Amino acid sequence: MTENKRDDAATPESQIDALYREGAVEQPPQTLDQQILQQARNNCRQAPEVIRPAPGFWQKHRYGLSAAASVMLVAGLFILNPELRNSSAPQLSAPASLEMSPQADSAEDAAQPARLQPMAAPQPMAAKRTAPQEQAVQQQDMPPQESAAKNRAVAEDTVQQRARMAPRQQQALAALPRDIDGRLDRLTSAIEVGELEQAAVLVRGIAADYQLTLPDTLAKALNPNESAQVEEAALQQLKQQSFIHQDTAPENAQVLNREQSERWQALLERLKQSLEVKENH
Amino acid sequence: MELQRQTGMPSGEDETWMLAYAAGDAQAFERLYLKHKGGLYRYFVRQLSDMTLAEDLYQETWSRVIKAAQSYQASAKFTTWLYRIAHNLLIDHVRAVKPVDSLSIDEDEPDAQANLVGPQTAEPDSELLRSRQVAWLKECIGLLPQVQKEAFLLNQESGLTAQLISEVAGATLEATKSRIRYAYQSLRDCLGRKTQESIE
Repeated sequence: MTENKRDDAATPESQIDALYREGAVEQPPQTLDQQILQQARNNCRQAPEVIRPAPGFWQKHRYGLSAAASVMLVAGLFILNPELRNSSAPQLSAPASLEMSPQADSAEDAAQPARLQPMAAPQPMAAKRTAPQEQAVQQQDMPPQESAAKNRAVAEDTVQQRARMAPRQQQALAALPRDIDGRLDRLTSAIEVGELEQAAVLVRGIAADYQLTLPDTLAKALNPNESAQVEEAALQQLKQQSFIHQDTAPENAQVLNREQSERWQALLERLKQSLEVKENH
Repeated sequence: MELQRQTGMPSGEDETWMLAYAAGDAQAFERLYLKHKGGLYRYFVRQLSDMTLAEDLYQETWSRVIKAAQSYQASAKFTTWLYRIAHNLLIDHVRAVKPVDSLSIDEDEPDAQANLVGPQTAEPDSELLRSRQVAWLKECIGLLPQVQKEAFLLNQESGLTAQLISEVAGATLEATKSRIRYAYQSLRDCLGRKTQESIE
């Protein structure tokens, strides 16, 4: 009885389902079937090639090849660019020189740490060289052999001497620009602010590097004082440093042009006046 | 079976065939196609008056299945996936909902349908009447609201449960159940009325 009731309750929907199934005879056209199945077969043939390509040599070894290419690029840069090779050695000892350098008291000096590194670095290449510019700053009254011996001694003791140097002198040496215009700018500013010691170092360095003679009056005024030996060592370093840069600089880099010469003369005159004023005071 | 074990696949043969096809077995797709082609075809034909459009959408559905085979993952039932594609294509092309003509839905009288399809008892040996009823049912299905029609067709053709139909149609389970229930009720009313009209 209960089962009959369930059958009766299911009857209306079952009748509809039966009627629907009886009428559900529509099928897609055969041409449509063939098109779809053909598309499926075509896709089946193409799929393995597209989805799973065999890794080629370049893909398989891509990390090793990229690393090797990077190494070759860096090595090539060092081989083709000797300046990088030369400057790499001083940079290795840069931290020691930075520890020795005094605290910069101006923003300009603080912004030029790179100039300090070559000064503080050991310079074996420069020590072995001889150049006309070096001979020009040697003391005239000293025999060549004795002068050379003294230069070697000074070069060996440079680090120890610099440690004893006055902070302002160290700053002046450390912040020296390499190009003549920069050095002249520096000299101008030193004269203007009254840093005559720094100006004197700059003048002597420029005169040495460019084989310029100083007026007698100015030469006397710039006569070395009690720290003459220290400044002399610094000048030796400046010379040697300039020789290093001559490797890559043109030959006429050590010659002042007309404008620079005029500017040099004017600065000498100003420095002379400043020294006289200071002496009068 | 080996493939199922390797991929942690569900047990359905449809999913197995689909993965086999993705692995390069064209015969697996053919089996899959033969199994589902009629139901999917009628899913479109019964909902669209334009036969050409229905065939285009039917072909486009299979085309998408073929293209997506390589990325197919048996995380869902294949039939659900197939009819979901079909549903999306359908709603992209057919936005308008056709109203049911003069079909009333009276939820307060759930037993009112009794023996509305019963004229065959009045005419026991009527093959002609049976074939007429089949034709009337098709007409009545065409008169159903779109959402009820789709729910009814998915129920009939895909064999999906109400839960899976709701996933295909993007509706809640309760709404899907209601749609199916109303569809049956409307069809009973429609068939009863047509039967009555034929007797008169």
